[in-house]
Amino acid sequence: MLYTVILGGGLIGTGIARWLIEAGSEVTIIEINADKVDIINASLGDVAIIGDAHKISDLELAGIERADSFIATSSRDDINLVACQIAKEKYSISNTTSLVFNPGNDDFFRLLGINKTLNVTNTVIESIASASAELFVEEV
Amino acid sequence: MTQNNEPSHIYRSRRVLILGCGYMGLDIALRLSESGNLVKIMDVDSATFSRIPDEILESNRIQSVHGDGTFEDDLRRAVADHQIDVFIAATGITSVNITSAQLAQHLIKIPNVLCVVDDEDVEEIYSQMGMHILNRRKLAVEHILIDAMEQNK
Repeated sequence: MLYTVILGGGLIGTGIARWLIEAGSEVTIIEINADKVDIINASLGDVAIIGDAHKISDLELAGIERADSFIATSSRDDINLVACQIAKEKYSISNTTSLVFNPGNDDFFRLLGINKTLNVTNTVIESIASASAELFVEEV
Repeated sequence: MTQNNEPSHIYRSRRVLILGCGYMGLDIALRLSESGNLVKIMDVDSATFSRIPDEILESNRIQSVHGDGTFEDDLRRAVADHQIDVFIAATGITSVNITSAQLAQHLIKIPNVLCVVDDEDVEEIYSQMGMHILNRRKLAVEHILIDAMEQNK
């Protein structure tokens, strides 16, 4: 069974965890806010722990040593970058994925060895532009 | 002709960009400026620049730059046409410092990059990756211990 550690128990992190669990994978969420951890654990079973993704002890509590993948879903690029780099450099996790909010950071993250980036800002802009541009822009 | 009482090295003044105009960043900026270096200080919160003494700002000995050090575009704007020799990431947030220091090192290619962190785990991992990391908590403790030993003598 593939094992994934997810940083961030927000809507995106929790949504990915729910999908992975339904698909039969094993998941742990690391979330810094204790209230969010309680809510997640009440709805998904005991999958979330309170922790700071820059702390080795918290990452190891999440079982990062045996993880196949790491996904960073916090709302801050700097926190996601450092977490992915620690997963990669210290625990040799070959599959690291990060949400990116600053459109300029995609290439930078990949230059530093993050395997996949998902640019939230660009994705939202592109989907508005492609799905409903006619609502906002008159045809040229 | 060499005189013994002269310093053994002659330091050329350096162009330094400091990220973070908090207590740590501003102290570093003031000290580097006093010793004759050209200093720019950058912060995402322009209100922090009010801590810089007026006479220093007026005489242009320290220039302030408003911007986010984790954004490549903002960092490039801070560097502008100046050749920056040294970049010091000295905000109070470790992940901000690590991110901006790597932008400065890998994309903007500033020759000397120093990064302040709070956390021993982060210090160890990024030191092994070849970054110049300073753990401010460890440095403070070491100084306190040295002082305590001096008191005991």
